[in-house]
Amino acid sequence: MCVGFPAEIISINGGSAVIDYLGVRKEVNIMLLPAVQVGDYVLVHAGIALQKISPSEASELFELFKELQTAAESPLKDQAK
Amino acid sequence: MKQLSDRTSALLVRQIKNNVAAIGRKLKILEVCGTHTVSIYKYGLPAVFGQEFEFVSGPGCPVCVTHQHYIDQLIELSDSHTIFTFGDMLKVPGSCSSLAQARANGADIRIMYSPPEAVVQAASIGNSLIAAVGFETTAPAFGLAIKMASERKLKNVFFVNELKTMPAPIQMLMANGLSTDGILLPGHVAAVIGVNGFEFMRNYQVPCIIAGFTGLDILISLYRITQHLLAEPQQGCLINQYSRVVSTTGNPTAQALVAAYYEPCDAYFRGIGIIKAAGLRLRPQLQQFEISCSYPPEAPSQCRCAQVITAQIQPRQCPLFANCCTPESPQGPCMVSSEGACAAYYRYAREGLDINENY
Repeated sequence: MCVGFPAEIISINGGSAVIDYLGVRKEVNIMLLPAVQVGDYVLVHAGIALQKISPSEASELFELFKELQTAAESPLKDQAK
Repeated sequence: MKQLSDRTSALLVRQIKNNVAAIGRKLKILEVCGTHTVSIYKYGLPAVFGQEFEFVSGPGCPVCVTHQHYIDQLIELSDSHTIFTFGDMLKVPGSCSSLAQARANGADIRIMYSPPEAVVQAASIGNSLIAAVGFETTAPAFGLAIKMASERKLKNVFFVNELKTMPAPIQMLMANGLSTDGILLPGHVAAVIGVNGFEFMRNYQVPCIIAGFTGLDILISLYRITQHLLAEPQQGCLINQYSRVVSTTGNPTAQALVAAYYEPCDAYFRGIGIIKAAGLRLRPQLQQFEISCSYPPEAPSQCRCAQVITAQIQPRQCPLFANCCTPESPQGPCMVSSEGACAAYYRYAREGLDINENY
């Protein structure tokens, strides 16, 4: 019951929407996300769209990658000494 | 994107190991959500970090914390009602039977995917019961279901509520002196209640990370914990790693819906007992829809699920684990639920036990 999954909104019809999850189409309830639009990604739990998913993940990951690379360089330098 | 994820993961593992070496001791990490339990074992993190981390579970799997008598009561009511339940409740052992066995014996027990859909189905048949189990992530779905039942003035649909909320059991663990070096907070609960719903965690001197569920999410969260322990070992913190889904305020529409139909109540956690204000029951004006459940003392058992979900022992320390208790014939709820700590451990980590007792 606890498994939430991300899905794309394909079409909206009043309080429900058709979503696509890895090629599977299913109707879910979107009454708790009044501003959701076609093309948005949402988190679905027990047939209910609970939260919109923001697409900013890639840039955050890139920032983290740069941070880690910097961190990884310092101990290597230490070893070289 | 995948290449970036893979390279970041490799760097994270290395940096986490460096950080823990600098901290100088093995760290105990608590997670309180069944989906985190599964992810941690599925991605092999106890093996990757055998020297760095001990992973322990908290009471956040709703199947695992449901009282045996709840199952007994549903079975009893199945004589006169059609029962709608989430599929993962079917195999949970009651005191002498399970819903799956009752269904095999002819009871009308149906698996629901979505509670509002169950109300639609239930409206057209005789007396029906909806087993309302879950935490903040499923409460809004039951809120929509009760809204529908009450607006349509249905007389044949009832709810047996076992809805629970996450803050109180976490506060109980902390009040009982749980020692932990970092806490992974449940990302999907936070999607509903927001970062604000976990602000109380700042009261504790431990890093708390609202975490997502992929292997990378968990690695990033572990990295943040170790970074914090290095920088400010005496201070707690609350970090939102899962910001692509979790906002500061969560979902206010869902919160308002739940508050309109439910009020806080004490809740029974299997193996733990009553926890104050850890549950939700229907508001008084909706009580014609509620069938309440009583909780007699639990029968004594060798099953140590209660200690598993209060972060006291690992599944393998239970005498029943992998002996008479397996996913095929579970003796306790943590082995029944695919999200239970024992089931996850059995499925993903058991084979390594002989070669690495550090698991």
